[in-house]
Amino acid sequence: MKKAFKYTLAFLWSMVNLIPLVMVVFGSFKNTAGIYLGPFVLPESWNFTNYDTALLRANVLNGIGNSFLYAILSVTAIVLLASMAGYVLSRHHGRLINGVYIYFVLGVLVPVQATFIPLVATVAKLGGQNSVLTMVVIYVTFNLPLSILLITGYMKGVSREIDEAARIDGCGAFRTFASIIAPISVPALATAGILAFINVYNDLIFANLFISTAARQTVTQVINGFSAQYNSDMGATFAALVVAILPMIIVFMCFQEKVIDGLSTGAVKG
Amino acid sequence: MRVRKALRKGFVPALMLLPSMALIAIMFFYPIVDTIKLSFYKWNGILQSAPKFIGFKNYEVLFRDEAFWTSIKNVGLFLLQGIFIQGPIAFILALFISKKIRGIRYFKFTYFLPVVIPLTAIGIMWKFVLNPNWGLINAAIRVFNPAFNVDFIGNPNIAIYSIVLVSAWVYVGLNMIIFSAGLTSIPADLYESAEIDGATGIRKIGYITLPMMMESIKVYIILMITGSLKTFDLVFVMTRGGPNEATMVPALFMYLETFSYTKFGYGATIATFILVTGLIGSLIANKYLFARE
Repeated sequence: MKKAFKYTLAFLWSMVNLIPLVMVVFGSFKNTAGIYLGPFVLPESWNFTNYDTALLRANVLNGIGNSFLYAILSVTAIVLLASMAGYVLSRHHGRLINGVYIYFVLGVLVPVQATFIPLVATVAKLGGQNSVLTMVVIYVTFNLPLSILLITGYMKGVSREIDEAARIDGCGAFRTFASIIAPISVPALATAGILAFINVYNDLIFANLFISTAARQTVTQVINGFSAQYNSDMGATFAALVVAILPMIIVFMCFQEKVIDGLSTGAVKG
Repeated sequence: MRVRKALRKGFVPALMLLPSMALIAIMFFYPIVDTIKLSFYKWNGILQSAPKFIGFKNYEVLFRDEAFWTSIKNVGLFLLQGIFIQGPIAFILALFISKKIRGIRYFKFTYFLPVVIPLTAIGIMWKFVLNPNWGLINAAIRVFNPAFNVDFIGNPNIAIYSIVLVSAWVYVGLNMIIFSAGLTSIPADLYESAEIDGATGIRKIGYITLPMMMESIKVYIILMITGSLKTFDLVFVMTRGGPNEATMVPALFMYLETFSYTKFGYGATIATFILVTGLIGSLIANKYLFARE
């Protein structure tokens, strides 16, 4: 009895999370008149007109492509740089290394907003708006601190005897890192990478600061612009939302354990 | 000789740290110094026109700006919500998912789902859900009360509460994970010995679970403080701070003053305020979060 009550409550909360999303999916198949009938009415027919509008007029696909481009390039650089830094931080001691660690901790804690104005001015001065390179450098910088802390935490748990054995076999610090410690730490690298990927894909504010041309816009910019411009065409907006959200749902479905368990071990260690 | 050896030994590790440190120094920490400096200037953001030094004028204006105080009040609402709504729900959910239950993957998936969806999409979605005429919430309440019609985000008296609740909806899943991490680290024999002493349900939570989870609760509170200060996307997408600036938050306030009204010096002042408040929170965070390193 008590158990049934618990499961009912748990199920209700899962519905609180799912129903708005289901409403979006239903809405994406309705015309405006159908949406006015209310959210509980099923779509009359499952036609894809709205998806046509969203994909052709709003260019959601182009936005997804751009977001993926920024995210993949950034994540590659983040994992590379953060794993190197994490290795050094996990293998060395002393005041200097402690100072470096606190330096990255500060990077997690300091509000990013405090950098916007000088960054915008500098990027404008260098003519770096609307450039893939600018976006990647920005995303890498602001995702590095958390990734470094996550990876350092994991690498600290990797036995030092492995390093010793490698040294005896004649491996230098970098070789030991690249061919032994990094491969062992793949679970942490994956968690850090996926979290960074989600962060970059979901970003709106940096994109707004540095990207203005339609060709380079991120998916979040595209759907935000679309929903403002076509706010009378709700069905199409719903379709745009579905297309924009779908990649993240797929990523999350594939890597659910990595994301959730990685975060929770990070939270305990942190 | 020894110095050279030590240098050589430290050379590779230094090289491995350097790119990350340099990026953060150039793109993150240096601009912050610039922001603080700019907060004492008046500047329209045009590169050719020089900023004009005006001392503490921007700060005087800031503390008399009504939108600023609204944004502070709203941060307070986000915090209160975190403590009284989001925290308890996240805790109950964490209790549930930390046990051996059927369908755990389904529950974890649905609970965490809002965290991975772009906030932009969530904002647009909830604008529809909260619509007075054909939105989900109004329609649901009209099943019981046909006359019900409330404009949840158009009415300046309630708009901020709607956004605050949407934010709770988004982040409950994340905090559930933080709490469940704390829960699973509690040794099981503590509960067993408590049971032998006759402790049951609620008492076990009060005497063992909560005290043993203080670390997670601290992490959670610190994330709440920094997270509330950083709120931007949801408000930007749902109301842009309106109606009548009723839903203004500091980050958006800074963004609009700077880039919409081209008051770059004033914007820098708001940014400096966010920085200082955030750092005070960070100092607390530093004390608790990383004390065990």
